[in-house]
Amino acid sequence: MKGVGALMVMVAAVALARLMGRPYRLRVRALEAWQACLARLEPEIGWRQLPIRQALARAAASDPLFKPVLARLNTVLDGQEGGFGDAFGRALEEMPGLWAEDREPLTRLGRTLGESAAGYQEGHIGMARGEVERLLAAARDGGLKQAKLVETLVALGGVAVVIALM
Amino acid sequence: MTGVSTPTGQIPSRLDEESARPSLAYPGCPSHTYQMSPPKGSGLDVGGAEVEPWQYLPNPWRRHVAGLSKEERETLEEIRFRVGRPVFLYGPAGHRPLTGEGVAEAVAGEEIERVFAVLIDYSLYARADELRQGFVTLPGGHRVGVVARAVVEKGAVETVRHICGLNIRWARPVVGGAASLWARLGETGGGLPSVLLLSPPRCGKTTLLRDLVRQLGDRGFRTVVVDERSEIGGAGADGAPGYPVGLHTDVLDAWPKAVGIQVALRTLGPDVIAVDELGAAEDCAAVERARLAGVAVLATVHGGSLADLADHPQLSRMLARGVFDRVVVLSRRRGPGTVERVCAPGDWDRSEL
Repeated sequence: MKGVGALMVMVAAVALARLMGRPYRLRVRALEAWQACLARLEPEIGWRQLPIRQALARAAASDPLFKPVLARLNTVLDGQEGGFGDAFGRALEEMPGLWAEDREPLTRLGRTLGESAAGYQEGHIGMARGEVERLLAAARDGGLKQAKLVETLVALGGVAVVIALM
Repeated sequence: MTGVSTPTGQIPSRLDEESARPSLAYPGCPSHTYQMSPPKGSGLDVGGAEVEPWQYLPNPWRRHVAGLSKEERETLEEIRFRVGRPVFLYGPAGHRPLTGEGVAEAVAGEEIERVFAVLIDYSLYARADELRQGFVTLPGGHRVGVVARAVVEKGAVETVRHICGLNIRWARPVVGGAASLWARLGETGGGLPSVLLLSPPRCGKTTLLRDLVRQLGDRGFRTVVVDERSEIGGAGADGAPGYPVGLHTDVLDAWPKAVGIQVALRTLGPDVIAVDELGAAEDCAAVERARLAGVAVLATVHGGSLADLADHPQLSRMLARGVFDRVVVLSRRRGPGTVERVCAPGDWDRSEL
């Protein structure tokens, strides 16, 4: 009976540890997705000169994280309630994993998308990519370490409870 | 220059049937009108793109235009936004302001910017080349003229700012409108004639050209449209023509005329090339090259009469050299598409040019 209880505690502790570390891992995942998306967006706008919605849809097509973002963006734009920058900012809220500080450079990018010639657009996207890369590096260095620490501590807490029970 | 021989084969030959009708004499023949908005039972269909340009507008304007009577909406020609003034609707009966809930008596600059952003799908970079020429074309070939301050760099328009006016024109395809014109072109030595359509703006040149193209394309002529402004083919969202342009017609959408003609000659083996709004020297030179290559050309040009072409060195030279077999002079006298004259080379003598 004690063994079953100990096992259950351990499973719960590991699950809790994973849950607590999830935001850190998801943030890295989301920033990686944006890094890839921006890299793909640059030629869609700079070279193919696709309209912004189409360009974004193509650049973000391969990652399911963007699904709710694109859906929201299209809904807001179809409603023609405001400009693109506003719609993009609102759509970013639908992206899982992004922290407030991560949204800032992307929101700034949204305000400039579609507003100038292709060359300038590439410049804006390049700047946003730089900022996303910096955030990603920070998320990988600090965030993942933090996630591992939290996971380890919670798991160790579980082990401590098991030892106490035994 | 000689025309293109008529292709033979099993392709339905609508033109043959039409040209078998008694042809009207020209020049000086009575005016003839083809209908821009075909009357019931006329046998003419408004074909192709069903999307009216007003559907691209944001609310409240879209809602109020959609709420117009069917008759008024179907004959609407233009809708104009001007900063500080009402939105005006223009039709064959004249003009009137657009009124309704939410529509300001004087349009604000921000509203025009918003309308423009929606029309270009928030993608200025994708329309930069068009904008430098003062317009953008909506899917369906509807042209939006842009009134704005030009930003000039090294003598060329780099972009525009402070948009203070928009003129949204409805491009309507009229299927069958050009049928009777073929009969009036008469014999041109057994070949396909090269035709120049001449008129002031809003007289139906592009509509007539589109239907001439459709008829040739349907009949089996390999027809290439060099559609610099996407008005003839009415580029659809997926890149395919938005209007019926004929079974054997290729549309080089958004290609500059001179480059497009060269590409068509080199790679598409055309019997006939169609271009809209001829004028620039390099475009005229490209048309001459096409004619020297034995390809017929259908083209349009702005002008009130043949005499107006006298001041245009390239066009007057082209006429004198027989680049065009016929010049069709259009007006709005009895509605858009009124054919005032069909002129053959003998008609443009030196006194007129």
